[in-house]
Amino acid sequence: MSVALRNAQKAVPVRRAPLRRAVCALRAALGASRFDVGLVCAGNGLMRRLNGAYRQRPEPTDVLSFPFHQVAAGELPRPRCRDEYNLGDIFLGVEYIHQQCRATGEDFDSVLVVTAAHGLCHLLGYQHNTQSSWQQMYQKEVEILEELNRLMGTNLRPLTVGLF
Amino acid sequence: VSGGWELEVHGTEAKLVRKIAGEKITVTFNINNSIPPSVDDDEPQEGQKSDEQEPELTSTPNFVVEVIKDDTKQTLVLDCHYPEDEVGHEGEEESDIFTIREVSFQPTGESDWKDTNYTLNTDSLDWALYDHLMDFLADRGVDNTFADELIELSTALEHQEYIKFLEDLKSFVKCQ
Repeated sequence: MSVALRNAQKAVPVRRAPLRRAVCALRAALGASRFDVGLVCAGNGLMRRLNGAYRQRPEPTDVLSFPFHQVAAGELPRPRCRDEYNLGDIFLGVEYIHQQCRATGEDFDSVLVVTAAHGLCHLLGYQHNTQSSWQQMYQKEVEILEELNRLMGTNLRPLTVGLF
Repeated sequence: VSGGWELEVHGTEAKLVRKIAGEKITVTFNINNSIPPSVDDDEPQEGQKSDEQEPELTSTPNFVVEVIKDDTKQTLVLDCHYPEDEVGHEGEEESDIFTIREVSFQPTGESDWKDTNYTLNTDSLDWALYDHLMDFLADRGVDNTFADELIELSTALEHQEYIKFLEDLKSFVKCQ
């Protein structure tokens, strides 16, 4: 179904159309095209507030995911009605990501998409708090980013490469 | 407003104009009725006196963006709005800073609105096309930074007109 994209910040220019295109392709690669997903481009202030409220870490971060359903990694939600065709919301800390990219020299648009891919996987139950769960998540990120690379001619790699 | 805009003010109507690469961009807004009603709490908050809690009045006018290309007789007109404060401060932080409500082509140079020209309402517009329109505006300097600065400009102009109105009212009341 739809990707509800909002740009709620003014710190960093964000091109909405290519980001939407990428998130739609990633969602399709996850087999979840029939599910709605919310995507908010957020500044450091909003990310700090959300990170503090929900993870007790009042500091900006790159991505926060709020799944609508609790599912095991690799499973798709089983909606009981139309309103439950919803994966949840991803908050992309675009200002934080932009600052990181300036420090590391990475391409902002590429990191934004890779971060969105990471957030989407979290919405579908993937985690990276243990080595085995990270491996599973990493493999899924590789898979969906390879599909995106095939479609868009990009060369994107997962966010958590080298985490373990 | 940053971005090389020229400002023209005629009473309560302000116009920002910018020329880039074969295009003229104008942004027009009116400060009348531009301050949304403040949300009244049913009960006063603890420990606060009402006379110390003056709400911050900001002006968030609807604004119309016109894009005129040098070699066409049509102007692309986009009617933009700021979101209404429906869920309070926290909800505002998570929404777009401004939205496009309607899009239309109008004959260039004619001041009268031609309502026989098709007007696209974005409520039912494909979201991908909507994003392209937002990117189109951003490429022309009408982005979230611009929208934020326009609020500051409009608020300042509104305040200026308000003070002038009070002064005129004072003079009017005094004269015999």
